[in-house]
Amino acid sequence: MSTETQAHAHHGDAADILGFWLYIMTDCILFGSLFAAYLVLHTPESYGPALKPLIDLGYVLGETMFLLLSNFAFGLAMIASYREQKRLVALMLMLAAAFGLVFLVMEVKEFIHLVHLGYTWQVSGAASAFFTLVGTHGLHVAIGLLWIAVMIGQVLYMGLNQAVTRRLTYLGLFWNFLDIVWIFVFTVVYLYGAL
Amino acid sequence: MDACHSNGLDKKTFGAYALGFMLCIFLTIIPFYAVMHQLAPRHILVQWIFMAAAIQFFVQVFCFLRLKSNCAQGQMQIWSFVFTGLIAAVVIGGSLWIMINLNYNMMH
Amino acid sequence: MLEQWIIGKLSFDVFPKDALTLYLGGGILFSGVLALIAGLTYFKLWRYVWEEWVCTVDHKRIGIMYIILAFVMFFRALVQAMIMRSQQAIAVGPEHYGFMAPELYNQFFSEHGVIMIFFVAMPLIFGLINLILPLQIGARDVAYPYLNSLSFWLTAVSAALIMVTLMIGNFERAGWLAYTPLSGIKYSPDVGVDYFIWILQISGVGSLLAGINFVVTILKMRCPGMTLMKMPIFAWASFCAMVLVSLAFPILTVTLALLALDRTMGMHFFTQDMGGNIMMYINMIWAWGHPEVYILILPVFGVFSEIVATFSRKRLFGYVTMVWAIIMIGFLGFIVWLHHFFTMGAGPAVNAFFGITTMIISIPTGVKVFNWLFTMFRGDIHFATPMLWIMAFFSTFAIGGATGVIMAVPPVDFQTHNSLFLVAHFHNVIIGGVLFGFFAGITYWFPKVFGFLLDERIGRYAFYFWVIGFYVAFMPLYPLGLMGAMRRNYHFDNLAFQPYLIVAAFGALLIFLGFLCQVWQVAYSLYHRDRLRDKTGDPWDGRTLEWSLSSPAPFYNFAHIPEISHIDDFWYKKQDWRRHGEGKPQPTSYSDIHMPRSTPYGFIISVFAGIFGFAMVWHMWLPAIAAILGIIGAVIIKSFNLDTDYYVKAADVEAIENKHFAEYQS
Repeated sequence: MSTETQAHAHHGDAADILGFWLYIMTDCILFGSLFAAYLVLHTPESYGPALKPLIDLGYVLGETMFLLLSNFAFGLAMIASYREQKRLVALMLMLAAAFGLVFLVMEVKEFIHLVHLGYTWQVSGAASAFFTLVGTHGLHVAIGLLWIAVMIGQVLYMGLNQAVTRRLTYLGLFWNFLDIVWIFVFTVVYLYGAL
Repeated sequence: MDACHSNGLDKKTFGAYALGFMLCIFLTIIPFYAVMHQLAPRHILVQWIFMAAAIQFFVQVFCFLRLKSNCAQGQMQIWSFVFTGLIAAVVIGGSLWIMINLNYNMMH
Repeated sequence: MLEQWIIGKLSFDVFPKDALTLYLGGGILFSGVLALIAGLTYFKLWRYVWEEWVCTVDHKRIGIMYIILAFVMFFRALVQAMIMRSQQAIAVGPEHYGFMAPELYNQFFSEHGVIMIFFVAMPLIFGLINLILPLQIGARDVAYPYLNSLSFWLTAVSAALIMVTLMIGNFERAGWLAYTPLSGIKYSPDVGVDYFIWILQISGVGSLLAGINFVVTILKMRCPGMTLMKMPIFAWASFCAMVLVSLAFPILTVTLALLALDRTMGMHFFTQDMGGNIMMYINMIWAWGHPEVYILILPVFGVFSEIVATFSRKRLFGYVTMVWAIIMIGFLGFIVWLHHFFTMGAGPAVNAFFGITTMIISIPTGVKVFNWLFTMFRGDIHFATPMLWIMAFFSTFAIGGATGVIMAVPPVDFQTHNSLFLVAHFHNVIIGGVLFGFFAGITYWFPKVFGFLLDERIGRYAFYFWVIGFYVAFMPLYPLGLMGAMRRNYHFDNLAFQPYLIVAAFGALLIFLGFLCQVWQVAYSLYHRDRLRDKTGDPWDGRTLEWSLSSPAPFYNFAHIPEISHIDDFWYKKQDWRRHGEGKPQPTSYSDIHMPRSTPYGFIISVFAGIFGFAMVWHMWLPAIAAILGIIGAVIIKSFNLDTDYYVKAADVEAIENKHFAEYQS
């Protein structure tokens, strides 16, 4: 009897991660579709003001560094969770959230700046595509930050039990995935856009 | 005991993480610097930035995500990743081909 | 200003003004809901319904709810179809314009399409897979039971929203896919397209979660010994269909989101000016739309394989080629989507490529049809109702598929695109393929779900009305299309069309009689269920694992997880038992079983989602924000609850199993 239930619990662990992984795959297609729309609408010949002169590569490099740092901090949180160090996990999560928040604030400031310069999402299809692609990534980051906040609460309140550890793994996958998507965003939108 | 930690992802070690982090910083700064300072003609730069992106992608997948290939679960994850990538390529590439081709019957 | 944020665009003008919608649609809806509330109150069933159905995470109950939802929505869409057919039969020539205004007609065909695809066909698919798949692979539930409940309730809530459009505001008029620029804010400033967007987004999330759920279930929860190549074909077909769901639905989510951004935030993805590209909408929506129709047909192919093998009392011919055919169809389904818009102006290279891929996809389908026929060859065939539906499928789907291959040739498609020829083709494959397959599957598996068989005699009546009705309703549309009759017309100028349209209207009536026979069949069988009871759990002498359980299956499915060693393992075990003159052996001991607890959160989150959708449609920003906060709050609160499962005591399991074996041995 005990082996059957133990096998079930073991099973449950592996099954859960696969499910979240598959969700990440669907999110890849979601971003893929957004990239497709961006690439179709945002060509050098497309209507409307050009994005190129408005790109501040140094600023975007800064944003990227903060997102990378946030990812690294989260990785440290995972390592701390393997060593069952509850407080260290919470601390690393807070660090990851802080860096992530800086990224988000920088992005929002960039959007506000562009709007002040007259480059709004209503000014052309190309602009709509820009704000939507970058904005959707930002929205995912915002949701991730909320999730990190909840996890900090759960780690401190419930400790590193099976459910919390599982959720940290999901969140780690999610956070990593967002950094991977960002690689493509800054390459296609900003670097390629500046050339 | 399952080397895979039963979820298809290898245990994160500080070493792999630190290495990955350094590589990513490197692979980010180089393309940015190259574009900001126009280190090469445009078409070369385009190749560089996409190469850097592709390499950083693999670094992040192997050093951060820690996808493992030697257990069943890891294989399922890798295959689903490959298939997703294939479909994404079909959708993006196909859409681009179609949308550009829709101008075929217009003035060239 | 604050009032604006709370009430949005709602006013007393939002109620419909045309008699048809108001009295027929609104009337039936209102009285239906009232009757339901009255019935639940009179029979004191509220608590029972809440605890046993609304909060359930049991895949069998969720499957039943999906199918009930599908039948209720089918009634509405069928009635709308009959009204449209009547309109078309009358409104021909310069003197007769029928009884429907063109705007209302446009709304009707849009609703008919959306409901049939999203609230009939998809729920039937998810319902059938929910009911049968875990049983077939020897599992006790799906991988994520709570998400299963959430998926169903999201679908149900969006169905409720589309019913609300009968009374508050109106639905869209731009066709079931709401093409731009007609569906943009400039040409459709009313709430119809907004309803469309949010209804599909909400049910789309439900579908996506269900897709992921079933993929993980099939990959991770098969019983010991059941390798992928020993799974029943229905499991393989469901697997591929659910992979398609997972990869295609995000495209729909993005496309509809971009349309919503255009409409609410003044963006320019799909506008005619300012750098928008209206054709990109059509490209993206069909990149989802084509995989969608394969999502509908693949599980049904699986159903056919099960039924043909069982009713020919023979192993399925060519298991391996069947699996590869399913995989090929799934993959190829992603590279044909341009055939829906050959006429949009792409060059010959693009059109030729997609035309060729479309023709190629018919090959694995043909392989499957031949394998089914070879299964029947020299089999011991029993023409019970499920098998009759299979026979109807063979001819009907073959004709429909053939007309599809005809249209795969771009020059031909330039003649038939958007004509009634096209309408006949897709109804041919959807009714002949998807619907006939469901009817076969539902008749086949009904005893497993409810414990008694459906009456054969009435089932035959339903069959004949449906099949004859289908041919009478849709065959005239092929010549009509070739004569130049186009789709979505509330009126035709050419009087030569009228005889055909009258015949088609009569066919629609026959189909409706078929549907009524099915309702009669269920009611009659329910009334006579003692006579029709399935005592053994295996009324058809089946081959797969679900027939090894009692009918209906116990809530935990298997007392002991089975261990299998080959395809159709249950069949071979049965032959073994029969050789020894025995029936199904009863286990000697039982263990505790680990089961998930029911939860109200699937329902709660869906209700918030429904409120969010309604609020977004009417620009009620504060309620929308509140609903989002409600969803987030519910998710967070639920995550703090760790009491999500329990153990069924071995003694209770034994009691249930003993009852079944007592009946079995009698």
